[in-house]
Amino acid sequence: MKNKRWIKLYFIVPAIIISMIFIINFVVDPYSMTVYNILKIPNKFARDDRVEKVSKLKTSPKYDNIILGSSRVYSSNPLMVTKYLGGTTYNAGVGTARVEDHLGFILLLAKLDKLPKNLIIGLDFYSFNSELETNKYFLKNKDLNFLNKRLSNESYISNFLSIDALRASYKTLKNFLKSKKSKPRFDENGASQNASKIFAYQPDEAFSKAPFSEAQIDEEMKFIKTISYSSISKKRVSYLKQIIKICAKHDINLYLFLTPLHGQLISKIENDKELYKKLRSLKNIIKSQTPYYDFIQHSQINDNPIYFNNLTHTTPIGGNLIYAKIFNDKNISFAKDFGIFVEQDN
Amino acid sequence: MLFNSYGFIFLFLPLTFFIYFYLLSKRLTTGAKGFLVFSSLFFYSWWNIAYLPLILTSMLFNYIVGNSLNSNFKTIKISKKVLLILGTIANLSLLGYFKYSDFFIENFNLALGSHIELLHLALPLAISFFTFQQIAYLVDSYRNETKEYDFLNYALFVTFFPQLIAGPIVHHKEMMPQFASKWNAVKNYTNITTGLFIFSIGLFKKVVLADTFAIWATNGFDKAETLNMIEAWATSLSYTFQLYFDFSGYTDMAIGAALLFNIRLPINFNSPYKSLNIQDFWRRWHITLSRFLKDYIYIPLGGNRKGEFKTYNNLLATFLIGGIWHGAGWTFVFWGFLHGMALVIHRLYSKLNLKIPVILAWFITFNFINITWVFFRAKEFEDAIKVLKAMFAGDLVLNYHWQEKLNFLNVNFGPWLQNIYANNDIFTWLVVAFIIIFSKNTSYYMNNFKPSYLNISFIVLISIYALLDMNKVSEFLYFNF
Repeated sequence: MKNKRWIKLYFIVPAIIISMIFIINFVVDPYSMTVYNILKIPNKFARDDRVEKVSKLKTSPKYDNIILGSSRVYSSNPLMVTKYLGGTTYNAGVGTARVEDHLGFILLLAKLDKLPKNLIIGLDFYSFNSELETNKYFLKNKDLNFLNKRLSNESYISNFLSIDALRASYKTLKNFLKSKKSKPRFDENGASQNASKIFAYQPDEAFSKAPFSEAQIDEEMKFIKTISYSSISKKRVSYLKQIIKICAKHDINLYLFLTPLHGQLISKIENDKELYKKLRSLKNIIKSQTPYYDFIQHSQINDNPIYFNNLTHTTPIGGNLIYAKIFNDKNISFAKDFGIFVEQDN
Repeated sequence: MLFNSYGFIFLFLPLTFFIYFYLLSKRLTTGAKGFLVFSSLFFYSWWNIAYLPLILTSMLFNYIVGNSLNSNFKTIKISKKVLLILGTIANLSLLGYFKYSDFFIENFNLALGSHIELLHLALPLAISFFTFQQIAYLVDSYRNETKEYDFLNYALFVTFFPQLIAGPIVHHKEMMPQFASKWNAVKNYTNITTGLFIFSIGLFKKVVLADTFAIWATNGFDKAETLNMIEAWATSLSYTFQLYFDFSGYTDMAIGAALLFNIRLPINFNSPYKSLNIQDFWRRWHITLSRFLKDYIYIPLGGNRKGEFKTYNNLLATFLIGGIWHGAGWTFVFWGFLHGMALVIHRLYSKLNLKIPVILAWFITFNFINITWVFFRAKEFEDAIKVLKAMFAGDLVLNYHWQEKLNFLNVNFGPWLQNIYANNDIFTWLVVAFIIIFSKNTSYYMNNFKPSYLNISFIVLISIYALLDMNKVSEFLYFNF
């Protein structure tokens, strides 16, 4: 083969293939990197929770109660909060939320003049890990990102030019073509897993569940220690302080809680000297700032797998029990030891 | 700017290539060379423009000193030897200040119990490389082995972007004539095809292979608190392959990019992991550094001309310097010491004229290199000991899925690779790595490449794979040295 022909093929063939991949990924946009949604796909492979919830908050009237948190929170029933506090409630929990996400939502609500009367925030222990980077979906969300840090152009392009994106596009298209009318991810109250329809505090009596396996526990430990839990993030503590200040300034009732972990995982953390130190340190830091509810404690609920989807996510029923505790529902006596109210004096 | 970034591949490299040859086609040779120097400095400044004056000053200083050392200059009033010593000291001081200040302060504080604050200086990119290159130029000028090069060619020799950041450490004798040659002023399609082929292989090595192994190596060395035996071996082997694919990938990209401009950079790797003894390894690994250490340290120290004992001393001293050149830390010094000692032992052993079976020789050499890389990689001795201890005395844990079938073995079963965040894929990658290290290398393709449908299909495939895998862009390891 002649050199010139070889060179032509070297540039033309990859250019065609890569352009095609770029176009497919751009049109399908599995990670919702653009605002276009050209094919009007309702449920994408990696949908952007933040885009969805920000849009809902922008277009809806002001809510009386807002719930903030991660996936540990968005599967809890917002109508339970309405039951206890009255008014309207929206669950603005988004996947892998860190404290910067919570602050981002509050700043946005302030900007929209839609700050609620009551704010319920579920904090995750793992999310205070200083090694844990800011979520990239937070960074690319102009409404939430108050840090003024942006994804670089290269990482933006790479989201359209990666094998992962191609795989995600394929899955998204496959799902879309199979069932165009698939259900939305969150209901109108912002909850997932049909949580808005679940008001029970206990599962069916017949329901039982085996303890979690060692492999599952190890997997969750790996997640909590992502990289290594070297220290509590000072930045995130400062965001928390900012949230507390804003609430005080605007007379918002703040209900803060540490999201529950299953008892087997709590035991594992207790056996990990360094990690347990971090957990105690985080609890002390939060306590020094504001009263809160600590659900990372052994209890009848924490130690029972039926209230957990996995070691770090409660079921919607588990979520109902959280609200029962926070809002002091005296009818729920069987879950008395679930969650401890912590304030500076105790 | 990284070779494995979209900016370099889609903008910088093609633009520089086309403008350079456009200027040459208009017979603007000086303008073309000037443009290449400008582009190279732009490439350098992309990382941090603050250090641009540093490289410019260093370049100008060494050019003046080098020309003064050249015997044709009669105007200098101090002896040539004094000038050479001053020039060398100036270069080493610059390197010492940026690279070794904190190391010296730390050790000073430790020895004397003082509390002098560390300087925390950012290491200017490529300083180790351009300093060595220019010291060699001064020494050769002193030896009257340089010609009266013009400043533009000299500037191009120092800054030429393919080799500026992490080598190969080029010698003025092999570069200057190429920059001056009129034959290199026209596009050469054979060089372009070969260059593109080698560049693409380098990109694949870096992006797909090195960056994949990097995850497990980093997890094992820096993040895991404990390791079992399999995790420890997986960690050390991952780093062994990461380092090789990272550095040889970079070098391949450098060689490929330079070939587009008709410049042949020296080969830096010749399948080093095929080596059958440690001497063989150093003839194949980072060849241009070995050449520099031999020509400008080992031989001036006396080489092997002053008796056996002095030879061993010289070898050890050369490798201790080689160790500290790689980084300001005792782990690097110890790594250099181990390699120096291995060379001494090899020299002694060679005198016995004993023959070791080839496979055993390879096995011993490869494992020695793999084990010594542990010190090279570890941030602290503790990390190295953590990995080494687990490699030889760690718990043997096997995948719990195999428990039923292998229960007769008296070992533990459980999550066997969890501390390095790996799964069974790591073994596939290790097999692929072993296959690649025994395959034909860049040196072969540089001399034997002929365009064909087979190699264009292969290169298109790996280029697309690499380009689609570039979303985890990472720096090259040798940027730190």
